[in-house]
Amino acid sequence: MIDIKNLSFNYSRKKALVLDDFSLSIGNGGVYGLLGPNGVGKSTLLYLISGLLTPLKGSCLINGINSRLRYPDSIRRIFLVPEEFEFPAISLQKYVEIHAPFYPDFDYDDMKHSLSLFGLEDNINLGALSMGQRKKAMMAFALACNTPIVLMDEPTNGLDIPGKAMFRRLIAEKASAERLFIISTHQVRDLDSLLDHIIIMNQQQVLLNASTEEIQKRVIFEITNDPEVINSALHSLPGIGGTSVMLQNKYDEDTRLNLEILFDFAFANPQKLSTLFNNPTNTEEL
Amino acid sequence: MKHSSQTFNFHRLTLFLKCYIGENKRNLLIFATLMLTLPTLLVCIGTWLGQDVYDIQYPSYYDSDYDPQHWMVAFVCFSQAYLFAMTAGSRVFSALSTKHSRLNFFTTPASTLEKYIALTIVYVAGYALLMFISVNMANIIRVGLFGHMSNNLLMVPFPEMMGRVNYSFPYRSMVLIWSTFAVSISIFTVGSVLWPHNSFIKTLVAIIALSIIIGSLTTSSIVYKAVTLGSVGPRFEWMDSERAIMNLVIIGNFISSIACMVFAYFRLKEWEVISRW
Repeated sequence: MIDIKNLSFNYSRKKALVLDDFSLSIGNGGVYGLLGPNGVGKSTLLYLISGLLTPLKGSCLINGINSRLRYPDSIRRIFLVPEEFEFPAISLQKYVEIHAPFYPDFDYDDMKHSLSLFGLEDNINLGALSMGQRKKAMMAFALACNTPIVLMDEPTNGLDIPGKAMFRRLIAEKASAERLFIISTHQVRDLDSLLDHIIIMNQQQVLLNASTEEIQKRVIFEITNDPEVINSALHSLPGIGGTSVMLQNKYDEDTRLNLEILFDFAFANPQKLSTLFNNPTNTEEL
Repeated sequence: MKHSSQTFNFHRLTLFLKCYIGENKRNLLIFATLMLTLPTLLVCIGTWLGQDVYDIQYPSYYDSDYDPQHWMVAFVCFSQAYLFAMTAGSRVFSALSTKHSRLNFFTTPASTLEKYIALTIVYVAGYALLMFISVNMANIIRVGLFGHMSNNLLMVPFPEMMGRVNYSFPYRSMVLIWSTFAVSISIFTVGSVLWPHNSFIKTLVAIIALSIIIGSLTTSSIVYKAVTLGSVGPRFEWMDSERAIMNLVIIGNFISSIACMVFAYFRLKEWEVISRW
């Protein structure tokens, strides 16, 4: 559905490229986690997918149409929830009245359901909300628009603990094979149970683009204090209560995904990661 | 994807217009209120301050249908019309002034043309309509409040307020003036799309700077020719006619206005959520 080819972008000719010959393909549905260090271009990538920025070269096609053309029908199919945004100083009902008609599949009851889970009423004044409340209102509206693609930039920033739990619940309710969520985040612990596909990126390339199922087939995650296990691990991260380790999944075991250690491994050993996922039979060098 | 036009759809235009007005109602109401009240206020203050001219000591100086404050009313309405033309033009693309407002603007599912037309309707057509109402209202209220002072305190005809300054070519001079309104609003619209933040000041400074540069170049060219060649250039007999010059300026003004508005549209198409200029 989303086809990014040889995308290069920078904010100024005097500055380095934010994205350099970057390519990525994303399918029709599911919940994708977009991970990467600060400044790597995650938000920039979301803006490029939305057609809000013009690449230096390359293209971003959504169902074969260049997103930069900003066709109304293309914009209507994508909803971007930015990390920071402002609402006009009007009531939510007025906001819905003027924005919802752009989205033919908008469902008001859906929005009310989401708002009630977040603990908000539908007659709130958008100009008087705190940052966390604004996020909740925006997410409730975004999900109710029922767009095929939803892009979220750090959606859990500013949410309280119950808000994060409700967010996970709502995404889990809405996720389907026909609806694509791309969530850019640093808060991997908030979302690791939600994601069914992981993309780890740096400026030049995608270090990892795999389903969680595929990841869990290849590696397992444990917490241990056993030095032998730690030494034989692909990667380890010391922590409270033990050392988190990532091991090859030789016996088809099933463990909970640990995105923190996976992310760390991706940047510490990109070659090993590539071998592990692209040449799984050639694991001797690991 | 449906086969409805991706460039223009009337329904989407009305949706965007409703959306923009709904989100900016407060600012639009403030601007409209200023436009409607400022000319009335200034005209009434001017009438009250200059009421001595209606002193019964001097009736023989005036015809029975001549209002001695005629030119004050015309000047106030005229100058307010220019001021509001420039202000309206500078507000056309105010939605691009911050990253948050640009995000909202560009993610709204309407085409660039629809958004452009909607903003032009609000600020250009809206300006023209409000200005018409405003100057007539100022005239009517002035006569209503102060008409008791003198039989000579009369309504100033609309064409007099809005440009009939040349009695040899009364309507041509009015069209000339209106063409300068069109140029004013279109130049400030270009300023608005180039510098959405603090657009009025930046555009004004740019115009002054350009005027100084062009004026200096023109003046030096004329002086140089006069000194070295003994004349300022070829003489075109057809330009001896005042009518011809007025026609030329009118056509030039309207063409410039259209060119500015077309430029503004194409510049809007290039805008991004993060300004890289």
